Amino acid sequence: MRKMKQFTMGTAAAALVLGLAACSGAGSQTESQTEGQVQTQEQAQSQAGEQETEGNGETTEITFWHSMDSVYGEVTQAQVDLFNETVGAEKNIHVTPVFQNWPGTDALTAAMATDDIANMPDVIQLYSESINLIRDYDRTVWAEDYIGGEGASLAKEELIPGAVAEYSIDGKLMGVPWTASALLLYYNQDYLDQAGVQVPETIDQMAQILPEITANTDAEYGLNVRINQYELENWIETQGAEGSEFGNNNNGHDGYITELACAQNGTLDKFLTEWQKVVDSGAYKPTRDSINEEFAQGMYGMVIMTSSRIPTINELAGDSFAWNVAPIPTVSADDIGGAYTSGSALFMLDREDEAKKEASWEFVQFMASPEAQVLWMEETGYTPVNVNTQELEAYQSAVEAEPRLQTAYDVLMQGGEHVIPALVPNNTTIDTVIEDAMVAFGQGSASKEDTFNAIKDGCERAIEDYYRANPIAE
Amino acid sequence: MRKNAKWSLLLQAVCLFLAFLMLFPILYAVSVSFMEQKAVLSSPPHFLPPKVTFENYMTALTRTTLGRYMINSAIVALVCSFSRVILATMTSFAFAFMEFKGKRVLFLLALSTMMIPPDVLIVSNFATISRIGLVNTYAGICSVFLVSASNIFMLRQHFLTFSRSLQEAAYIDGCGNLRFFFSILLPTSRPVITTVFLSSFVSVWNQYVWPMLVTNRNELRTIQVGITMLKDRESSVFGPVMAGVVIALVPTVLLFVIFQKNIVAGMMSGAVKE
Repeated sequence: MRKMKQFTMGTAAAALVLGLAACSGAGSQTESQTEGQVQTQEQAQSQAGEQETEGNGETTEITFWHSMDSVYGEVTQAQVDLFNETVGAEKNIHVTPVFQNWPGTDALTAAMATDDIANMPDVIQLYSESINLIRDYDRTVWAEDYIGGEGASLAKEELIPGAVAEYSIDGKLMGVPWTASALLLYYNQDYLDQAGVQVPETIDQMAQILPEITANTDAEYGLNVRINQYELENWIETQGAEGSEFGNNNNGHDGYITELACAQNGTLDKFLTEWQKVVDSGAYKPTRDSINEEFAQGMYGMVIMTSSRIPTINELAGDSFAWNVAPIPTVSADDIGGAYTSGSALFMLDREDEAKKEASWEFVQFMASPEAQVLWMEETGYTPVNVNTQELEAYQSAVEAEPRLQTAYDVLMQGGEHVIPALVPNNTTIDTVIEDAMVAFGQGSASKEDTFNAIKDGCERAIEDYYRANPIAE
Repeated sequence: MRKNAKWSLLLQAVCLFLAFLMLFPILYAVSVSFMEQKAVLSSPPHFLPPKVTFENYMTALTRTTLGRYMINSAIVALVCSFSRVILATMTSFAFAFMEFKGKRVLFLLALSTMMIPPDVLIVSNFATISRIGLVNTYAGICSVFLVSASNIFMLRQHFLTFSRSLQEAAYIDGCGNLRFFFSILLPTSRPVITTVFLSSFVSVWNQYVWPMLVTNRNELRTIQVGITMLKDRESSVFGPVMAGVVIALVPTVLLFVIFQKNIVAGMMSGAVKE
């Protein structure tokens, strides 16, 4: 009886210990951190060792993390398959793509925190807003160290200049651009014809035609766009003859963003002054619901969104009306215009295996090659990042079938290397600050001055908070 | 009597309405999974597919390896549910029937784990799992779901309602703790144990973040991760996602249908202490 009691108590205690260990674990983190790091490094080294012992000429395995879902995931798989069948087969490299949920940083952050190189990718797709995560990371392998090197098949000159500038810090390329798209103005040509107006080139022109569209067509609103950080940045950075800063230090590419430059250089104020005219037109919807479907149903005369939605709108609208795309209207007539290259790049990580690094570079080069980039044209609205893609017959056929895709490319080239996105710290908070302020402005519940102050104060607070938690390394 | 009948009718009508309200999103998801893309986005909306198509299911099954993901989810959910039942019944037995020093403190300690949001612990849990080399293994996925304090609490409350006189009679007749546990307590607690098992199964089946974080090989991914691969960030292609959701729903719905009677009995048990 006594033994039975002891057994039951022991089992229950074991269950509790198991439960607590599984549910907490925080307490034991620090005590064996160093031990853990050593262990994971040993695991990676033993893997590398195994690879070496397999002998030269054996396959080098590369892990590639991406966050491409749906049809984008299918194109990604096609690109990887093409690599494995061609360059990979020739150079004994095999790439395994692994899906990670957007923006693809959750698992990376966990692996970085534990220095778990055994479970890190060799190549990872990241968007520009995630660059701050790895710009000071010791295991980041800079593309700059390879792109000019001996035997490199890819040169910076082959890539869209804005995309190169986007992923460069202090002039050095960190990651190789992989996907690209541009913010565009989508317009209902039938409505513009019915209203007897032209495609607007400036915000002022756009504000003038909005009431004309709603008065003379079935459109409920002349324009629908919700202004978040992405849209605001585009209107800030396309100002002036050579672009403008949203954040200081060349938008964080020559140092860190510590100040909201656009609040000091007059570009934010200038944009809000022009946007006031759009708000006052009474034909503008500042919130976003199902923008694709609503535009396709003829609810708006114009919408502003990314070029990657061209195939979606094409499918939704069909032949029900004529529509086209154009560069977003500029703040002033003499602005550089265009749009910054939004999208993602491929970054390499150092897993303490030179063979893997070399193989990763082969893979990254291939993914930016015309042969891989042209695959985006088949089913997505992404613009190839490699300018030589235009020479391929497949590109020309795709543009012939959907000429609007060429506009996105032209818009990206228009901005050149001057129009680049800001490497904003704490970008999710800043995005919310801008969205809230601009929606209130668009709905008429906040004045221009209130909006300016809300954006300035909110962004500066977010930047301050970020550096308090993540001090800049000396 | 007539007034009572009217009230009963009204109550049933309200219940039916509420049931429909709760079921509507699921029924609509099923309907959308059989709709063509144009029908999904048409205005006014269709609640039933104008033309039934199986294309969304074909897309869901060919775009990702949903079958493999379902097997992974099933393995993880079954292992964790069995583990939770075994550990929770034993722990609850100790808390309900045994007297020992620190019992109350241990019980409160176990309950306190319910107060900590799992997201807060995710990185430290990953560090632990990574250190012991369980990343990319079923054991790694299962590790944080093997025990649940809420299951312990539920079973302990149920065991407290167990007739003391019956327990004493069993002991007087020479029944030991093990025999009492396996031959008397567990058989009479079958409904509540079934409830614990099923709620655990559904809870683990629906996990997303942890299985995603602790695996980076496609062949180890679970069904919830597979569904996210079907969505399209640039457009509103709902059909394949809804088809994936319906496929993921099937095992849990089947389990509920099979064990429905046990679940109801299990939920009622422990509600009142004798």
